[in-house]
Amino acid sequence: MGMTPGNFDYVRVSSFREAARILSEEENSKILAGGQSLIPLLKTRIMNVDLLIDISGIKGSGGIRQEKKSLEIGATYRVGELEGNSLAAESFPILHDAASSIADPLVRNMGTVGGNLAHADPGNDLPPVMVALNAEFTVLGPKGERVERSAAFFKGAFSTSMDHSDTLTSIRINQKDGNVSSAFVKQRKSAGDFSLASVASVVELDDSGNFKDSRTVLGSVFPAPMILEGVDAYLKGKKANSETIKKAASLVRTQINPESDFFASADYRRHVSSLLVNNALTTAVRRSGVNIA
Amino acid sequence: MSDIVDIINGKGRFIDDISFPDMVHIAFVRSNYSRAKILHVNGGYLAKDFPYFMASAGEGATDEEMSLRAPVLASTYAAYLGEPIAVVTGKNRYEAEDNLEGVEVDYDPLNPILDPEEAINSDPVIPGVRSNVISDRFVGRPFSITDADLVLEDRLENRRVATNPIETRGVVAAYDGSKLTVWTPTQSAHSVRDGICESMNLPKESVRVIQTDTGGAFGLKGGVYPEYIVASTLAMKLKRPVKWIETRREHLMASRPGRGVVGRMKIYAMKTGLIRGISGDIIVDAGAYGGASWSSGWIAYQVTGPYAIKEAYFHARSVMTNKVDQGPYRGAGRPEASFLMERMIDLLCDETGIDALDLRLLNSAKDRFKSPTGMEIEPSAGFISRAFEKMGYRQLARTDRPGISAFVLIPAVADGESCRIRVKNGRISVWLGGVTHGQRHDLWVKSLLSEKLGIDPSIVTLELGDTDMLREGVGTWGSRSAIVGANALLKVAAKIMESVRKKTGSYSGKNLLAGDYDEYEYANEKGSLISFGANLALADSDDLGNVKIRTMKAYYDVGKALAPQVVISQIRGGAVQGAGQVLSENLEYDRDGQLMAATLSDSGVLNSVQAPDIEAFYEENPSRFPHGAKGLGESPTIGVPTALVRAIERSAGIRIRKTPVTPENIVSAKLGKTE
Repeated sequence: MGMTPGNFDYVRVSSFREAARILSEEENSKILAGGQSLIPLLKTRIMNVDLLIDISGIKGSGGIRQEKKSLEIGATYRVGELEGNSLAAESFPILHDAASSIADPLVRNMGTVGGNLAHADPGNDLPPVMVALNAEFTVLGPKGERVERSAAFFKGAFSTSMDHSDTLTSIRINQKDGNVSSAFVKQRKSAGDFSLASVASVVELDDSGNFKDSRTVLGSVFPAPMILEGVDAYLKGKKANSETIKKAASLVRTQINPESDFFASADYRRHVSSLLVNNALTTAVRRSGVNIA
Repeated sequence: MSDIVDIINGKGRFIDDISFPDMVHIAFVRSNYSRAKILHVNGGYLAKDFPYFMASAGEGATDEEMSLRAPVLASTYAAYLGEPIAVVTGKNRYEAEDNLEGVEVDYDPLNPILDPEEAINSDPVIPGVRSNVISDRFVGRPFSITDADLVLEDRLENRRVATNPIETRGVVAAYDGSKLTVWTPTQSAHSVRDGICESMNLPKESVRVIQTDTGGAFGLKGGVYPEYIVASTLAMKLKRPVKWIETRREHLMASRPGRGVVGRMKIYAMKTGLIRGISGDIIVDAGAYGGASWSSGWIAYQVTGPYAIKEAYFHARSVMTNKVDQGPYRGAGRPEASFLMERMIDLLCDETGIDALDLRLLNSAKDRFKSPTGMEIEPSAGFISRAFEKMGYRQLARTDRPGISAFVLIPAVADGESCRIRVKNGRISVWLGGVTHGQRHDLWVKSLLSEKLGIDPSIVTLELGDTDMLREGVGTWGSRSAIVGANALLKVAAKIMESVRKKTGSYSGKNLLAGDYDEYEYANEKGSLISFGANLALADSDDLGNVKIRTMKAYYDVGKALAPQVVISQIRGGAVQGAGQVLSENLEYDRDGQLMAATLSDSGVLNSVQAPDIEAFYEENPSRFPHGAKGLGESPTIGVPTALVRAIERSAGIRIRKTPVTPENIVSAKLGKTE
């Protein structure tokens, strides 16, 4: 039983195109970005690769850009950078909520936004956030670039719509007009870094303080993020107050069917999911400038 | 030991810093199952290459103690997850781990027996034993109380926790054709030597054990392990130095964790709060080969703590399960005993409505008291009053919901300790049998010698453990080392002063340093030395079951603080471990016997963000020893969990029976469901 990886080759590429080419040539190769999930998998030899393709040196692969109506995040942008970015926090407080709560500062300083999404660990926090924001992912494959909707991107535990020779290169979050706000909350496992459950919520209120639109996403309870359509349908057109939110949150208990496992019972998962929906909606609505208890 | 500043700057010399040019690295193939027949193994060095049994050495080891003779490597049967089966070598660590893939093991998995209560009457966890109950004792005196107003019962439990020092286990062994030298981080170089000699049937002169800078131990590094026997044997066979460093995953599955205790307790009390008797069935999860099987009886011995409870009777059993052996962990029976007592006292508070402090004062010892188990304590009432006065309990209790605890600390002073002092070229070197492994023994060694010998403390060096430099020695555990180590130190210092007088006519520091002296003494010690401690905690819990610790306070009688800054930091560190045990630390297996913790974080150790601070107070009532000190190291892991559990219990309005107290436990108890 060890803690060193098996033999592998390593290449540091200077463009995503080069990465894509090598990826399609080498069967047992893998993209290395921040390495916060991949390196431990290699060191425990749960995973073995022949070639690591390091994309962290690609010029312009990281960074964050405010476009006219959107925010563009490079795949190798570090979680810690996102945490410290006031522009992102102002436009999308949900990004700061999530980025500042992932693991610990050491992990955040190395871990990348793209890696957190592409690895698709059910315990990761950025997948539900991106689904709630209806983000678009730019993916480079052998046939060129394509854009994937976040909701269709996550297929299951460690599984996305990308195949072996695809690379996630950037994330676009479109800004909606109107009174839009957001929040992310989570419950960690009783021991360890990962979330047991999380809720990402983006809400839009109309001028009279009613829910105009919302997207509420449950993370970590199921293999992939789940949009709580029943909650969003209930909220639509209703007054944004604590009674509405409480009622919406209570719907979660009957609308989801989680499993019991070693880490939590189905009952506790329902309880936590419901409370987190309540907390996320309450925070998001407060951030819209509505005073609720 | 390396200078503390060097250690902080990364210049310590820990076990993984020991290296030789022709060194062989080894790695272990370990059982993937908690219980399995091994049908076939192919590749690597196997059990037949190590025809020895493991010796019992270190903390708590006695000749009479029944324990099984564990093999070095498993050959036909794996009794716990992570049990070593084969060893491979490599010229570096990478190569050794590559070679693990060349070993094939065929298993026939069996149903593991993981629950100690179930194991009492189940099939044997390993072939060839008649019963899984390895230690079975009745402690105290049978009694019958028929006129108690209240008889309260409860089942209480501490789950297993890993010792988790930041530096894991490790060893380097080298053989020069006549002598085996073993470097290892340890609590006792002599225990490791004696364990190796007994296992491998080697004379003591042929083995030298040298302690490296030791990055924490907490009970883990007091004895000898199969991996050390393997490294030693291979060093002799291959005639090359052999190194093994434990990974965290190996640590969690295959080193000896602590706690793992169930108590079915019963107290007999009057409406006034007076406790008339306590009884219980105490079961320790001893693991596959019955490790630390003494601990169940030891827990029972001290359950009554600082209270004058006239009747006490316990059935104490250590039971084998298909898990790695249990071992001592900071407190080693003391925190478990206090958990069983304090949880029942708090239950009595709830039943009678009597204030927690009043109830403890009522039952405290007003005079010297000998418990039915034979434990003798000084009067405790005065201490308990002073402690909670200082911690401001009465004021806090008016507006808030503090949890409190009171306890005894019984340091393992028996058998004393050894010391050697060498004066040479104007410098003084000191060796102690009870070595330092993070506690800063160097501070009190310097200050006591400076005071006694009239010399500059900066010329004194505390050396690491080394069996060639110190004839015999016991070790550092059980809150003992400053007490018995300082006692031996002062005795040897007196001997040296006498030698100086004989040689120069009179003693002075100057006369001392002008000559060369070398004195040794083993200062034996009989009897015991019990001190008192108390803790207070305030905590909140939310709807999700998350706990936030607001305040923690400690008040301990340390006899005399030999190094005041160390007293405070010992309390701080122990409080983090105590809180960790309550909030998250756990080594849990699923039904198939797979361990659910693979990383330090999974095992629930608090990180620096979660770690609570503690306000530490102490009083100084000198002990009978010339230096006046009493025990300390284990006090926070005894007193913190009980006070904190009570604080959580009160904030959530539930009854807590088990550590760790997970958010789900809190929520389901609140919602009225059983755990």
